[in-house]
Amino acid sequence: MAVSQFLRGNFIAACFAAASFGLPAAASAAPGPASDSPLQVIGFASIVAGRTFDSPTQADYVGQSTIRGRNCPCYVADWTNGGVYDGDLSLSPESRAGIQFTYTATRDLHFVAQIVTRGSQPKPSVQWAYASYAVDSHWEVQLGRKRIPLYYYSDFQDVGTAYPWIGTPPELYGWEVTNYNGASVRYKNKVAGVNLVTSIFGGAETAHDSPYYALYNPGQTRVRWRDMIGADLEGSRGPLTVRAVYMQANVDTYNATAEIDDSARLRAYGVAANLDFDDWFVLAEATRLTRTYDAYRISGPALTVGAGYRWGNWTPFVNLSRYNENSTDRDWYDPSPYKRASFTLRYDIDGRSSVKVQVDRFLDTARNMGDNAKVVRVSYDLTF
Amino acid sequence: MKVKMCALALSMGLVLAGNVRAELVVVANKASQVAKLSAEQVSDCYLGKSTDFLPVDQEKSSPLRHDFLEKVASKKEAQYEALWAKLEFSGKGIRPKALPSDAAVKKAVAADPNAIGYIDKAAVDPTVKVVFTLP
Repeated sequence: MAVSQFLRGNFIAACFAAASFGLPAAASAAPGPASDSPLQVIGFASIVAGRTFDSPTQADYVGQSTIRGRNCPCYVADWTNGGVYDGDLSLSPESRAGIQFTYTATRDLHFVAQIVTRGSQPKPSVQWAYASYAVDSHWEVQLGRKRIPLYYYSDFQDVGTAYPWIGTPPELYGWEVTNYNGASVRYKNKVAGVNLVTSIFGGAETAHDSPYYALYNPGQTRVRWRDMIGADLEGSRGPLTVRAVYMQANVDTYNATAEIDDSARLRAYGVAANLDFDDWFVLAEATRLTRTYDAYRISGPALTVGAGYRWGNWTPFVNLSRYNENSTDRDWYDPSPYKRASFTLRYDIDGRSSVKVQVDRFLDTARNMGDNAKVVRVSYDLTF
Repeated sequence: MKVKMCALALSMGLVLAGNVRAELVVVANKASQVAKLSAEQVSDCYLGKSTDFLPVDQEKSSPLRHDFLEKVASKKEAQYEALWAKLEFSGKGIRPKALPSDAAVKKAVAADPNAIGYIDKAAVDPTVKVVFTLP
């Protein structure tokens, strides 16, 4: 039932068909130093099937009995888009597909549009729509709709072939908006052997019916991140890549049904450090988001650490994550901290497609958001 | 004894044949001001870290491609593809165009003053100039 519901009215299957029959030809006309066509068409898709298992309800669980129509114990894999697994096998929470068009007007000016459809959403959404102008080999200006570069994997968190997990750790990659309409300036250079990339960005974003808030509240919630401004700096040398980011915004939230009408000052800090040797690699990222309301403050420090080993086409990967949520007034806001351990086994079919199996053990520390759950997922990821 | 000698000769022949490998060189446009590039400079271009040159790739079927990725870019195929998936889908780069032969790479490099490409040393001709030789 879940499978047919998911495929109906969705173009993920169409994307797979396009990948198999048509688009590789278009992609081969990618612009580059020897390109014939100014239009490049590329895409990605991930089919993810999963369910919880061996997850009895805990006696001290005090949260909702269902989240987004899923029976708890359940597991929120995608907070932004409301992707939730329960004991029924489902394709809809995390399956997704995207098509990206790049039009190169001149060597220095190009336009990018990316449309993504998800099993958890009723219709496709525009993730990217921007113009990019390279002032010289160091400076680039981009204007339009982009992903908020809040985390190391934010820019490509939908592209399953680009990372070892089935999905990015929800402890970090899980807020009500992921994109913004605005502008960014990027500078890159090599200094003392270190490849440096830094950018500043600013803009605003509105989610008119936020799936994130639908995890908690009935009715539609409108969320607006305004006055958003931030900067990031990434340096890499040899196997080591380190990144730091800061962002701030004013967040307005309104829900008539749940009688929510508030504003908060949001501040976010983050660091990431990755070590990538030929076989071994380690990924670590820590962030802290703070929302200050008139009456109280919520802070959410989060950490994820993982290590993997490339063994031919196989990549086993273990990961530990935790989200520590704190509130200065529990009457206003009751925190929902949680922890998770996962093991992923990835098999690269070829450079552009892979199969992954992942098992997660999720601990709902406060027993108020889904309850403890074990989850098993299988994914097929490809780019074309 | 004769059989043993034949086997020895055959195995030596195979070893010698195994050592006859294409020598990989990186070529640039004849008009380029650059006389020499380091392996790191070449690698940076193919891994999207530098836009000083426009890199031209070879198709996966090319016997040179594996050597290039492993010995110059220090990446396995899956790592290289994951890196370009990251760069392409985050708007931070456009994957080097992959061409089907040394001749096609030479033609592309000869046509663009900023282009570089890797080919078999035996295919080098006066239309391009060598800026890096894989030791």
